[in-house]
Amino acid sequence: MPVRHVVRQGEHGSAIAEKYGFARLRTVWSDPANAGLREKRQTPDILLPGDEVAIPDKAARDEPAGTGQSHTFVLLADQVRVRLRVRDLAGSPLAGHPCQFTVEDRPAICSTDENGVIDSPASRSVAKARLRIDDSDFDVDVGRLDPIEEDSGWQARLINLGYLEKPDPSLSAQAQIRTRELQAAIEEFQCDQGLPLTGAMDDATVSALRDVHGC
Amino acid sequence: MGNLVSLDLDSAEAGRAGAHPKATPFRVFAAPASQGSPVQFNTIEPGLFSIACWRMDDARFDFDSSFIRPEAKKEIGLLAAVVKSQPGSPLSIFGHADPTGSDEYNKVLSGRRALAVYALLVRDAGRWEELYSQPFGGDQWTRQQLRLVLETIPSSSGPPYAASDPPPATPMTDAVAAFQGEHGLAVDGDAGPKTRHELFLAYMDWLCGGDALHLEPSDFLGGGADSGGKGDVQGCSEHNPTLVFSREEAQRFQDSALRKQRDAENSPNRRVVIFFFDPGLRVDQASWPCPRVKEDSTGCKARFWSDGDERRSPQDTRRTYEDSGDTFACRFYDRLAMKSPCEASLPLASFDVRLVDFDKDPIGGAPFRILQGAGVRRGHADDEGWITVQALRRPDKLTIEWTLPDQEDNEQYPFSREFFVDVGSDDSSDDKRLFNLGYLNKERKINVRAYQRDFGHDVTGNIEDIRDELRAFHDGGARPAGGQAA
Repeated sequence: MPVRHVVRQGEHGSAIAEKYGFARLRTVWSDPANAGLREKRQTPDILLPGDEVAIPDKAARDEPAGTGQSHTFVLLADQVRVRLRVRDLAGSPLAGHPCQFTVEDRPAICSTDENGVIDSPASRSVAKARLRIDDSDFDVDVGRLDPIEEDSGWQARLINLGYLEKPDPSLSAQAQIRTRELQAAIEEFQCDQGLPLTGAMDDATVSALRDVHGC
Repeated sequence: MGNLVSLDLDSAEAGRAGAHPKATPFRVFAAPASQGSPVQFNTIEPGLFSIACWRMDDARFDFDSSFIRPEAKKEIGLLAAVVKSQPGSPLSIFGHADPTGSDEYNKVLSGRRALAVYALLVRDAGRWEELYSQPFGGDQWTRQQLRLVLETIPSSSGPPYAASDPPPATPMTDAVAAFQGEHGLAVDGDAGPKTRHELFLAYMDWLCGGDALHLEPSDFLGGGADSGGKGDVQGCSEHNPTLVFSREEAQRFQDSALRKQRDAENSPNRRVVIFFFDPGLRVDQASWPCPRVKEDSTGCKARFWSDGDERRSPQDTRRTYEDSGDTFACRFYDRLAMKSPCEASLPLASFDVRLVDFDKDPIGGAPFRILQGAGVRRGHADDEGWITVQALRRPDKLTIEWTLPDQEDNEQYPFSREFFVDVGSDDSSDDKRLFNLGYLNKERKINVRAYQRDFGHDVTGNIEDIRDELRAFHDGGARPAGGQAA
C-alpha cells in the first residue's frame, strides 16, 4: 500500500525520500501518484506544509550472487547541495570573499566565487546551515522556503533580498503596518527591476523575483 | 496606572528621539538543490532598515530659515544621547519643508536646513558661511542671527558677549570686538568672514555641549565620501508631509489673508529627521537613491509611491502620517519612517510593575532605573509602588533597579531584579509568577513552600493550593495578607 506523506514545515523532497528509505528522490517524485503534486510544485525541493507526497511501494530488486563469497553493494544515493548567493546593499555580488559555511554542524572555510555564490554538499536531510561572512552571521533554515506563489513564499524571498523585515509579532503595531510594509517592499522591488509599479505580486513580478532570488 | 516610563522614546518640546523596534537576527529561509533541481541558489542581501531616530521641529529654526536657534540645545542633547546609545551606527539627515511653494524651491530649502544640522554636527563652519553668504528666498542669515549668537555663547568672564535685556543693549561692534579679542582675531568690531568662522564654531560647540556631540563625516551613512553629501544629508522638499490639509482647508488657505494661519498649521511639516542604521553599514553613491542637496528632485520622484502625488495631496479629510500612514510621497523614505517613533505614532505596549519590599509590601515613591542597551531610564514609582512601562515591543524580560525613597541622592540602586514581563499561559506561568515575586529556587516545591510560609498558609508545597491567590496577587496586585505584579 502506498503511503501518503503530509509535508511538515521545513521538510523538502530529499529529506522525505531518505526518511522512507529511498536512495533516489526521483523514484518518489516521478511516481504516477505524484503527478498532481508535480504540476502544482515546480520542484520537490520547495514544498508547502500540508502538501501530500505519495510514497510508492518499494520495488524488490534481484541480484544474482554466489554463495560462499562476500559481496559489496554500493548504494548510489542522491546528493543534495546548499547554495547561497551573497550580495551587498547595492546588489553587487560579494565576489571572492572569505567566509565560513557551516552545514549541519560541519564548519568549512570557504570563499565566494565571482558571482558571490557558495556551494556546499549536504546530507539529504539537511535542515540547518550557518554562514559567516564579513562579520555578518546568517542562520539558514534549509527546506523552509515555501513555493513562490504562496504569500509566505514570496515574502520570504523579499526578506532574503533585504526588501522586507521579518514580521515581529511582539511589535504592538505589527498588524496595522504590515500591509504597508509589504506594499512598499513589492514596489521597491518592482522599481529596482524596472517593472510597472503595481504594489501587487503579479506574474511579471513573481517571475522577476524567482530570477533574482535564484529559485 | 503607575508612574510612566517609556523604554524607547525621549521627547523634548520640539523634537523627539527613540529606538526603532529592532528586527530579529537575520534568518534565511532557503531551498536545497537536489540533482537536476531548478534551484540555482538562494540570494541574500542586507536590507536598509533604520534602528533609531531623532527629529527636530520647525520651532528650532528661525522662521523660513536654516539658522538653528539656541533653544535647539535641548533637542541636540537628545541627539547626543541617541548617538551614545547606538555606538558605530551610521546616520543620515533628512530635511523636510511644508507644501507652500514649489517642489524645487522647497527641495533647496529643506536641503539647507539639513545641511545646517550636518555642518553643526561635524563643526563645518565653512558650510554655515555658505548659508550665510548665499541667501535663498526667505532663508537669509543676517546680522540679527550673528547678534543672537553673541547673546548666547558665554564669554570667558561668564555672561554672553552681548546683552539686550535688560537694556541698554550692548552695541554690536562692542560685542564683536570683545569676541575678537578673546579669539585672537584682529579687533575691528566688524563681523567679517574670519570672525564669523570663529563665531560659528563657538556657537556650534555651545549647541552641541562641546565634545558631548562631535561627529566626523565618516560617521555618516555615505561616509563623507561624496562632497555633495550623497547618503549623508538630503532635502526631501515637500514630498513627505506629516500633515495634509483637507481639500476644503487647502482651498480656504489660498486666501492670502490666512497666510499666517496656514504657515502655523503647516509647521509640523517643517522638520529635520535623522535615521540611524546598523553599525558598519555604508551606502555608495551609485546605489543611494536620494539626490544631493544641490540637485533637483528628479531622483526623488523616481522613488515615489505609484500613487505618491495623491498621497501628499489634499483629499476629502485632513490626514496625518501618525493616523493614516499614507501622506508620504516618497516610498523610499516611507519605508525608513514606517516604524519610527519620530515620524509614526506606533501604539505602545504597556505593562505595570509593582515594586515591593521583602515583606511583599509596596514601596511607594521608590526611585528606580532601567538600563536598556546604553540608555538609562530613571523615575519614581507611584504611591502604591506601581510603575507603568511603555515600549514599542514587549520585552520577554526586563531588569529594574531600585532603592528606597529616602536614599535617592547617591545614585545607588541596591535592589536589582530581572523579571518576566509576560508570564505566558503555559505550565511554567506560575513558576514565572513565583520568580517575579522573589522565589528564585529552581524547584517549584521549594518556592511554593516558601510562599506558603510567608503568607501563613499550610506548608504543602503543592502549587494547586496557592494558584488562585498567587495569580490574583501577581496579576492584579491583590496582596493576600501581601505583592509585586507585572
